[in-house]
Amino acid sequence: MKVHWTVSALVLPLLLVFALSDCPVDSAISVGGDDGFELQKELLLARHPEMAARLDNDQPWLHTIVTAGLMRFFGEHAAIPRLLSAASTIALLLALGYLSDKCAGALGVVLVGAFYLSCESVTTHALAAMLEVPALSWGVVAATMLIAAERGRKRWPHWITSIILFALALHIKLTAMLVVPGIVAYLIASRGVYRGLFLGIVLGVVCAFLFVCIGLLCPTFSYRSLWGSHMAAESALTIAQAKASSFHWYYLSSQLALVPATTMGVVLGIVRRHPILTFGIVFLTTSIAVAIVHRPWWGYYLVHLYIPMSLLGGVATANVAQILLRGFWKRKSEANEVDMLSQVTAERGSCNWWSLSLLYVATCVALWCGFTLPRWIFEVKNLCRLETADNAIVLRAMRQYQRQTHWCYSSEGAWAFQDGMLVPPELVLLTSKRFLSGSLTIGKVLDIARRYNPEVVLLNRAKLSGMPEWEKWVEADYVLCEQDPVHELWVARRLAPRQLGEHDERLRHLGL
Amino acid sequence: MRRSPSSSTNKRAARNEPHFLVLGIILVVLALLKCADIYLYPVRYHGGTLDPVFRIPMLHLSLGMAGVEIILGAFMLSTMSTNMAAYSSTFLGTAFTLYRWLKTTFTDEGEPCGCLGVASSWSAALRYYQDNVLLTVAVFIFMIGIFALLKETHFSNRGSA
Repeated sequence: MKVHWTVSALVLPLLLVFALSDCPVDSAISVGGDDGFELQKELLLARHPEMAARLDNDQPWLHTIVTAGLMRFFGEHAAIPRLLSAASTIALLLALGYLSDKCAGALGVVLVGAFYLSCESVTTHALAAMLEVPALSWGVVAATMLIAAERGRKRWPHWITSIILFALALHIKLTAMLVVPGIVAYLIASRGVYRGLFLGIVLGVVCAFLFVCIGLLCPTFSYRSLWGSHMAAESALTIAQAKASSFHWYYLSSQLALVPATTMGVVLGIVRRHPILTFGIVFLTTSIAVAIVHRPWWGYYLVHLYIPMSLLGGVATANVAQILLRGFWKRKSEANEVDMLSQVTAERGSCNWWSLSLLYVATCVALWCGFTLPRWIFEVKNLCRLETADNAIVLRAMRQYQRQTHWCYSSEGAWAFQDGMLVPPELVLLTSKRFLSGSLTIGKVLDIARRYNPEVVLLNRAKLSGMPEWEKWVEADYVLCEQDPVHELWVARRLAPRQLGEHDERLRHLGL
Repeated sequence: MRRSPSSSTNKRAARNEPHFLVLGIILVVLALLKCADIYLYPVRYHGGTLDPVFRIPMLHLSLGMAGVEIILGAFMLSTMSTNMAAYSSTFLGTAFTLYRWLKTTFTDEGEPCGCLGVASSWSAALRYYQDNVLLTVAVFIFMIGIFALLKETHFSNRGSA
């Protein structure tokens, strides 16, 4: 009985949903990545869309606009953007499932999903309010629609869907462009050079037109905001900063099973010249090239590499595993057409291929069980133990001033979001990129904060110690109301807050 | 017609099969590493430290395991048949994997690490990732054993492996 690929592709996500049933998706203060920036952007757009232009947003707007709309409709829940990321990851797994099913059958679908989900931080980022995962996920879905168009009969509906999805993916984040060379390579591999390039150019022009049309509807749409700010940050980097924020090959050592599997996938793709594997190889090559060249490069960009690596690795491992299992289910003469490596080995007729296949599969499975699986289980456990707003003493104290607060200053937007407080728009995106490019300095941040005169100030104690002017500011106009080992909560004197007592009083307050 | 496991195919020497050759070498290396560990870091083994699973002194367990591994590895590289190698590696792999799983359950070992980037040298990396490496080896032996056993008892009867 042949299992439909969608069933195989959904097995692991469903198991993961079960494993993460205790995860506080809505009340977790911060899941990871750029969670805080996105949540504050969305909250500001949901309440004051007219202030969008003040955000100095260096990313496209689509995701923020959609999420803000949903927040206006369903309420200001952190779960909305986080579940959007989870839905995007499931869409990505379905797309990868379709692609791997064409190369390696149901086993390939499961292995690709397992490889991808167990990559470092992938599960965390699948639940974080981030742009990276949705953009790339929908980019891959668009590419898969195009591949499905080439393999099916009804091409026009697939082409149109693919173009729309890709334009939307670009409007989530421009990193979706990473799949373009892979798509072009697929079209050339399946249609020939001239016909493939012609179709690629036509679809690209239509997609670019659609991209500009959607862009004109956004609050800001300019070269400077979308591309120029990234280039400015790159050119302003010192040598030391560039070295610190660059891609290193050893980052991949966290994927000890995936690296040999990907190598086998590349070899298989080159030997068999399968168009889908060609797509994977070119996608991987593009991602590596961008990782080597791009500065500043952040750790979560590894997902660019993990997607093609999982596709290639899963397909290769499934093909090799089919050699091992072939005798178990069917005779050699009944070799399945998707069993590509089996055909190669059957042609060569060497008895040691079985042994070598066993060594390869055993190595990949053992490395996955020994290194990847324990770390993945640890990651899932950590997600279920995330700090929630109700457990944070500072947030509980902050909540008392929620109704009187118009603006709140916090360098960690996720904390302010959990109490429904807005950060001044110019200070929502306190990204390293803005500091590196010189468009923002600590002095400027203080000036802006003073101008807004926020009712609540949440400061990071470690950062505060090196900034005497900040200490002077809060001590003059604010009262220290609560603190934990990391944060200090200061509330404006005009709200007549209750000052944090001495050590003994605090202990009595806690019942100790 | 089904052939018995003791057919002529199964009388071949294990050393002629690449997977048993690699497995034999790994077992010998593992045993030598255990002996080196006992010699270089005696503090860990002396003083009656008990193994968390078997509740016997670590020194005795390590020496016993090193003995089993070196004997099995040496036989696998010399005279052992594929059939016997398949059975013994399946048994050893199952026991070893089970032991690693039980040990992880009984001891709270903190964050498991998956990245080799922080280790300064290979010996430091081996020490730091000892549990990950040993679990990897255990699963590797199990995988080799179980598939070899399937081949010996089932695949070869269908004329397709």
